[in-house]
Amino acid sequence: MISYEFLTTQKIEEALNYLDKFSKVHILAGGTDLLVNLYKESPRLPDFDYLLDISNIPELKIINSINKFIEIGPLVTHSRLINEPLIKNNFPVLMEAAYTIGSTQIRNRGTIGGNIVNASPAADLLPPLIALRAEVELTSRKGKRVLPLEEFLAGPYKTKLQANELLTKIKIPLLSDNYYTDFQKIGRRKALSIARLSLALVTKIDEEGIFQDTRVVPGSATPYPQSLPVTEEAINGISIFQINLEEIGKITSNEMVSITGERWSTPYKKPTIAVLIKRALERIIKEAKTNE
Amino acid sequence: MVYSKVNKPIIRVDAYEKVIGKAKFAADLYFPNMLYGKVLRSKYPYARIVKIDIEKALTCPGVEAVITADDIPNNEFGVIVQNQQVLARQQVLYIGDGIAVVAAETKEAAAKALGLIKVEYEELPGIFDPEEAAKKGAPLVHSELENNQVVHHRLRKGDTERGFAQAEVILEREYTTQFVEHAYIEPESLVAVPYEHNTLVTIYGSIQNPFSCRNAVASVLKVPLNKVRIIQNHMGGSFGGKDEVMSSMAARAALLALKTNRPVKMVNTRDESILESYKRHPYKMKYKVGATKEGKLAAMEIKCLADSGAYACQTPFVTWRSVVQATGPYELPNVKTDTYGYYTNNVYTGAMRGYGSPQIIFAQESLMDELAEELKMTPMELRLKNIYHNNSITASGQKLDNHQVSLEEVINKAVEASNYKDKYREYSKPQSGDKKRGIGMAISFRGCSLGAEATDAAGAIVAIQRDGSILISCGLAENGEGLKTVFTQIAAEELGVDIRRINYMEVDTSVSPESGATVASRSTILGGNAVKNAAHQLKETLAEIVAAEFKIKTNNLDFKNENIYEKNKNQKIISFDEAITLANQQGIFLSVYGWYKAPDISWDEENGQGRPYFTYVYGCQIAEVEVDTATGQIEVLKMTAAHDVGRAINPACLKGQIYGGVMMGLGYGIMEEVETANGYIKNTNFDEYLIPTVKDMPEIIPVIVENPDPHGPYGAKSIGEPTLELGAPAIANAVAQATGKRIRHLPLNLERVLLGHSLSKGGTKK
Repeated sequence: MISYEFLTTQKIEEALNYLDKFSKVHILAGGTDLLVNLYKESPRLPDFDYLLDISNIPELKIINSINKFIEIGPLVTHSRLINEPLIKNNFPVLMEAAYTIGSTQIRNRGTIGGNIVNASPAADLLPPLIALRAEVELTSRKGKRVLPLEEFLAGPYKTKLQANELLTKIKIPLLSDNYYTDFQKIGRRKALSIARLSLALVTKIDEEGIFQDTRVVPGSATPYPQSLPVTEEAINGISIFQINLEEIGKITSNEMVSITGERWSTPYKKPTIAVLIKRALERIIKEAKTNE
Repeated sequence: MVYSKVNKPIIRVDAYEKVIGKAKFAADLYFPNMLYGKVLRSKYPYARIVKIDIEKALTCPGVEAVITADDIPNNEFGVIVQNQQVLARQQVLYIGDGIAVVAAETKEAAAKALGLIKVEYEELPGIFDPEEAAKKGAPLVHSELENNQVVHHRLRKGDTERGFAQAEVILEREYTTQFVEHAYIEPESLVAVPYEHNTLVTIYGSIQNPFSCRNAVASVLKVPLNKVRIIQNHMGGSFGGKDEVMSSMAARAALLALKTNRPVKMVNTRDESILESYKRHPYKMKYKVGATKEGKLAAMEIKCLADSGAYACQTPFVTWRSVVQATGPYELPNVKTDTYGYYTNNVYTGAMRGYGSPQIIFAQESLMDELAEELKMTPMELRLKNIYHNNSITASGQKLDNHQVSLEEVINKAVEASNYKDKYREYSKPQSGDKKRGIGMAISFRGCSLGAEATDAAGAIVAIQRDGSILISCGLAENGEGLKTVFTQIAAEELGVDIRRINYMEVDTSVSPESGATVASRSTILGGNAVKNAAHQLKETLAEIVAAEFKIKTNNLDFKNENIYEKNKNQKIISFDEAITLANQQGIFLSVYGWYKAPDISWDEENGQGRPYFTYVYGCQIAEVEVDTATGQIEVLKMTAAHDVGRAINPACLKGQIYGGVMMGLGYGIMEEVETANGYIKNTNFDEYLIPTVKDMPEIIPVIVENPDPHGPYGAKSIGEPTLELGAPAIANAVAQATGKRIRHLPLNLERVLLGHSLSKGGTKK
């Protein structure tokens, strides 16, 4: 059995003080990953002496629209992402991804901050958040720093969060009207399903129908979610009327394998990631054509 | 015949307490001074135990007892073959084998003590493939035996060589199925209480078969049956799964309780449950079928290999049901079937809903579709040309002449309810896009109850109390299927009284009449007859009293609506309550034992001929699927399930069985698999062992077909297992139509559908 001291607070300031004062503190938000790992005594758990429960800090539950950014508190649950008009209207891709997480019960407890900090290769929110160029605000008693999410992730189940830091905000820049997004996921069943493979696509289509600023981020495809620059570059500059989806699919497959090497799951994932990028592009192209 | 209590969808008699949470399950029980038991399990799938050191564990604070095999009077038990170890003595034979059990003041102390037991192992090279185990000179799983064969059943009819010579088309195919877990929502749990109510030990628990459990505990303790008492609690599911694994847990808890003279509670975690409990047998099946160009079957040759795992458990009988039913419900002049069970060092396998039928039906129904394609016929046409009708002779040489053989009827009703013909035509045309649809059918015949496995009889007590209220107790046990409700309805129907008069007692082996196990979809037909017999005896007793009192002939009395009527005048004579008072005044005893022994059957083990079962049920399920051919995802859109049950005693409970069975069949078909690697189990919890969720549930259309059976109570037969055995092959056939590719291995997971083969992560240990 893992033993620890339990700390709780309703104030960010106090949480930061705890992080400063004590060492080996693990943070509890929604608990959907942590409690399972505690029960299992998972080797993935770091060694810790204190469990700091931040779930009662109201400031961390706010969703706001400020200066061309949507700011999301890390304690915002997946269910709120699905139902919040600010998210639904601005980042449907995030809403779609949140909807595929676990079950109703898990979505009611699990948080966006937890999904980020746990940094699972299969985390459903990471691909859309990276594709949306989300930034994370990290606060300690010494001050704040802001990092692009993609930079914040350091490896499978690893981030650059310092021991004295708390994730206090997720900031997503608003997209202009000519941006399109899509999320695809394959699971072994329809709910309570860890992504076998997922993919988020965010891209701009200009007045001429040319792809620009494309971001492609798969989940469960690479050791931890990261964008696929080769694929992105291959799509940028091409017209929606001329794009060769087969070819893009091949590029995406090859790029994934160039990152992961041949693994036991490659025979399945190599063809299916091509399918996901094709489907995402097809859906976006169709939407763009209807909007014309 | 119009009934007032049976054939009605009344509310389950145990629904209220379960819905409001009042029902007590074994894990809810607490006794004063109770200890907690925990099992130390093996580190290796196959190893010699060099030394067990329990000294440190014994000194651990809170620990009251530590038991190893050396403390057990008779360490080996089993329903059929007594070779299952309560605790491993010299060798561990599979990864779930227990080595020691600890009783401590708290669960934490027990868990801590397990860590302090030192076991020295010498790891041995195990056998993990039944084909390897079958080879001559293969290392022995049980060193005292001559080879690894658990059992071999033979069936010989006609001359297959001649049959194949006459056939114009011959197909040979191989099919395999996987280990699956019962996945009952309530893991194994019980409490053993020493020296209670004049017995040596009383066990309260989630026990499917209280009498089998009593046999095991008494034999392990080497005490008479009347010294061991088993009381069944509410069950959080069982599906065949809470038999030997519970007997083992009960024996361990009883030993600890007697050693410490304190109650001992044992509750498995999910991981412990999946690691230790037995699974459904994986089968490797070779089928060869010959037919004429017109599609008349000429011969079939079948060889099935079942992986029995470390113990014999139910393998001898599971493979026996397979040998009887392996051809499916098709008329065949020439049949040669061999089914085998082999020991390996895999997790052991036993009873699970279906019991040797889901595997062979997957093979034989896939084969029929493959043959239809070869013959350029529709699957339905080919089946209709060959199915059993009244007076057909089965592969075992049994003439089906004592009940309505309703295969054609169930097929037609399922076809109609699913719009099969139109959809089959539509989905046979080329389909554009990645998502393709298909529709597939599977049919079966299934022998009711135990057949030639064992003596087949059941008993019940119906006791009318002084105030006219009624107690029922039967030796068959509620497993969640609705048995209490069904038996209550039968007693109420027979006596013409209200359901609310009746209180159904839990099984108590010191009170209830031993009725064999609650298995083989036999409760309604066997237990129902026993209850009916008891109620009928009481009715006759009451009728005699009333007839004498009112000078009416007994056969002119009608028991209905809480009263007794004079039949020919349709006039009330006396109320049921008044009749009870009358009987009480006359000193007449109103408690009886009812008994029902199944009709005679016969079996010749040498050639697999005889009358293996006294009656059969028939079913047809049709699956409609959409397959994403680019990702391998299967969506089951609709399942239609037509089952002839003889008579639906409670149509609502019956539909519940159909919905549940269809879902279990769906899980078996497309996602469930206990993954093993060299004897280690890779997925020991529900995060990795995937069962269907409510979101995966398709539209399910139950079609109840009723052809009353002369042997069933009110004509009722069986439903529990038939509902499960058809889903996987129906889905596999639908997927084959959609994709044009045949998958011969279960489950039809993403990789198999997309690539045609499965992928394995590699690695072994958890």
